[in-house]
Amino acid sequence: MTLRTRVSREQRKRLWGAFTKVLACGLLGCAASAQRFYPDDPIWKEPAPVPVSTVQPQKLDNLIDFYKNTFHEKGERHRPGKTIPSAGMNTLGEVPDNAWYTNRQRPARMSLAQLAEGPNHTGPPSANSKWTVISAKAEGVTPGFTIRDGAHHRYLLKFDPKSNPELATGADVVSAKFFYALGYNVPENYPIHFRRDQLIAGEGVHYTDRFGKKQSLQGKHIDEMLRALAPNGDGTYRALASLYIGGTDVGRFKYYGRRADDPNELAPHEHLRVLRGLYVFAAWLNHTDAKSLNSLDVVVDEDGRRFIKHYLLDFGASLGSDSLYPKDPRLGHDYFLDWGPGLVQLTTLGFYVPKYARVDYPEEKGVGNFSHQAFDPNHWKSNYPNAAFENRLPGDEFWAAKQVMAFSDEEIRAMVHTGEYSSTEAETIIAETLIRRRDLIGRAFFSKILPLDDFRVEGDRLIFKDLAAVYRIRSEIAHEITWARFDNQRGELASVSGSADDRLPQSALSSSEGSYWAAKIRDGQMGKSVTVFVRREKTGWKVAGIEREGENAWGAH
Amino acid sequence: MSCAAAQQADSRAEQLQQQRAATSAAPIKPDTDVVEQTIKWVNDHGILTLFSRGWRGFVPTLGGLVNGSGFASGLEFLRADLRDGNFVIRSSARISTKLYQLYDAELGLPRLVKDRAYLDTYFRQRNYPQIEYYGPGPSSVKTGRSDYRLEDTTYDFSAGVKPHPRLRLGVTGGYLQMNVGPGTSREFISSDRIYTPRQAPGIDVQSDFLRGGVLAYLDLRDNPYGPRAGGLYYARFDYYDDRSVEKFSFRRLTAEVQQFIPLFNKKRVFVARAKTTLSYPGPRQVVPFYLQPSLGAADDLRGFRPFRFYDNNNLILTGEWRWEILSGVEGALFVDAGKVFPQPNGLNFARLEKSYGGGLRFRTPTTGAMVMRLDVAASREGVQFWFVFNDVFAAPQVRTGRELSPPPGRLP
Repeated sequence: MTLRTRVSREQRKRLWGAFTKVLACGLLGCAASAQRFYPDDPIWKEPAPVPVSTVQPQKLDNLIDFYKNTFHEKGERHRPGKTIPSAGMNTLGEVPDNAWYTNRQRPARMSLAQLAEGPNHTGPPSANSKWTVISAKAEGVTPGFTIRDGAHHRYLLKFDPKSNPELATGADVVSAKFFYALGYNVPENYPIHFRRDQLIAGEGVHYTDRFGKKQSLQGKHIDEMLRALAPNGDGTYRALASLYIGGTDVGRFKYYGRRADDPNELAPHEHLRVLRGLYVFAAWLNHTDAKSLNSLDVVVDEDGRRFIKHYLLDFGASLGSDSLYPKDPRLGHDYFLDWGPGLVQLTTLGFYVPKYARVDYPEEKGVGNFSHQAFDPNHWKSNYPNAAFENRLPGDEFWAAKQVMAFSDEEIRAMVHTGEYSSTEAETIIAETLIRRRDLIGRAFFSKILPLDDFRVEGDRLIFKDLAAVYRIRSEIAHEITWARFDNQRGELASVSGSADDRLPQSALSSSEGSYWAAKIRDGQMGKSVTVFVRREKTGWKVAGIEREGENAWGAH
Repeated sequence: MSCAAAQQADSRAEQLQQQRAATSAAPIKPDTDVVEQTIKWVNDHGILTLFSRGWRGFVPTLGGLVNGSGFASGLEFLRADLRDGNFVIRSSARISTKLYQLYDAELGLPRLVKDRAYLDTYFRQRNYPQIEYYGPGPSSVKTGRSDYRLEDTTYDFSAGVKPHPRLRLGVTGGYLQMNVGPGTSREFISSDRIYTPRQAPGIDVQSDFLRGGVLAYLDLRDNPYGPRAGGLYYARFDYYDDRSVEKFSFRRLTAEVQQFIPLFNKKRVFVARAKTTLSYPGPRQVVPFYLQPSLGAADDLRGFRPFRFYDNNNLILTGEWRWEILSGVEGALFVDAGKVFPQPNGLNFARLEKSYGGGLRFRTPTTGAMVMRLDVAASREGVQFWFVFNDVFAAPQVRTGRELSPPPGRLP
């Protein structure tokens, strides 16, 4: 399928003009150096997307994706002496709103009610009328249905393994809420309960039964598929109802490279902070199945522009679940095929027992194998290598870790509650495990770069927070601060003598609008610093950029 | 940020727009290679589906014959979808590189009386031209190797009840037509030329048998495909009635216990198995050598050649330490001990033959089912290498109408 959208002659002319200018400069060389900051820095929202023209649906196959990422080093990778900085962020190191991401925790943090609601604005399938099964999957351990409710909304119904009620559906609901709150695009996932008579077979629906035989779907086939499930005591079935994402499905996104047909992609995916940093979120939520197959690109029409929007999907293999059964304790620690640890296991004849094998997992069936005990945020792994995750740098980890740390215990408990676990014990275990894993993430990633954040100028003082102290990872310490004037065109710093505290130097206070000043904040204990660039504006001072020492130190993990 | 964009832009937003224009015009290298194209071709043409699901019920198969038969493959016809899975038809034809052949057919009703009972009928014809024979008893010698042709045809039925989903109580009955003949190996002498009928009863005369028995089977394993916990307990009693020459009638008791002891979140498993077959010939009757239990090969005494020991009775004890190396790959260290003996009262732990070894097991990551097994084992008679497609702890044969392949590796 190919989508064609109109690009006006003016747009084409403008794009071509820009391209030729860029090309010409690239060939001839640049006479002048570039300014570092622009007047609109830092931007919190990318400019309106360029409309897509021809979009070729991108087909991916599970086996091929596994093969390519396991046996090849996909995408551009860091090399000794050649670190590739992250892309797709503003001058503060934050990811602006774009087709991948929305800053949902700023300017104000989401309320408990908003966190619990997450992306769920449409509502679960309406029980006021029957649900028509419009496709069904009988293969695999658990069945799956696509239904259409009375309001003509389409939902995918997914179920739990018979051995572990609430395991996969709970994980899918809870993790979707977290990924949404963290800024990603995710589907609306609802935990629901329904009776058999709620489902009717759609007319002319073909499905493949568990023997691989194609036939016309009938009520008895629905009965047969539901027999593979464990009904609740009241005869209802618990399921996850995932609302179909609007727009036109154009395939999956890869964690490396970029789509040739998306003019809004500025860098290969393996360099995007939004995907590199996803490592930390996936580690926190134990989303080991973070792979291309669990993503979706759709062409949407928003604010009169057609563009490709990127979604994360299918969190059934997160927390302690592996969708069809409890998570294999090895997952999250080693890749499926992890040659180094495999060689250790082979040569030690099984007498070296890895940490993950010694974890005391909870007995709760709805929890599965989820624990903080062997969790090492620096060495967590997805099921198979992910180019963006492997390319992550301390700056990406910090960006993500501070968001993870921002979740309070209360918020985490409220979000886990939306999994509607019948066992209070299960809910408590999941929430407490997430709290402990959160704290481990803070300790791991706040130690690589100086964890100062939330910079602003109030009066003549530079204000900031030491996140390590805020989250009680270590006690508050005094920082050394030195000021310099920053030449935005040349990129040069000129020290200002006699300024050694958080107050802006006198020369800055009397400087003209548009001048830039830099404060280098150093932590003697850590031996790291952060440089904050501020700009004089008509109404006061604005933080224009942040530079964190060590943020691009490849190999820090 | 490119220098060009910086020169032109007045704002970050403008710079980004310029970059978009430049980036979208840049060519992207195709991201594919030969292996990927091959996988894609295999997928697009349904090759994997052909092996996993077959075509109109026909599925290619690998293995499924006895140890020592060489590489075997064949074609199976399976319809397990009839009457919503309540009626199963299966048939297969297999041949190996040493021209061992097996043809079988089965009709099963696996879920009678609301899945509380089952009925199965089974037909099988085998032609194995080079079955090894080293002479009778535990004191047979390696240099006594010979071979014979085994041809048999069976018509069996099996019926039973399932009082609990994990427990089966059944009866079996059937007719067995036997024929043994000269082996076809060029390397080894034919058994009938060096062993007398006294040493190898039945080598000179063919017989047909009427047979029947009862069995009990309790399966408490956590996953029948790749168990890591629980146990399997099996006992069976059969009567073989010689309908031709009235010299080979006997009763047989088979018992087997498998216990899987999980350690470290099931990342380590210790497996113990004890299995015995005891034969009780009638007055002035003997057990024909081709129906005697044997020891040796990939499923019991792995340090010995296939069918290295024959006698009326056997005992095999196996201990295996398994550990996970990669997803779907396990390592194993094992000790096998066993013996054959002439009288049932010889059932004890004295004078056991032993073998030791290690290996790798390759399993499907999803179900844990064995895909293939590589074992190396040593014994007083040297080292044996095994490359097989079955689990050493395969469940005993209980035909409940759902059998998907003939049990590999064992003769009777």
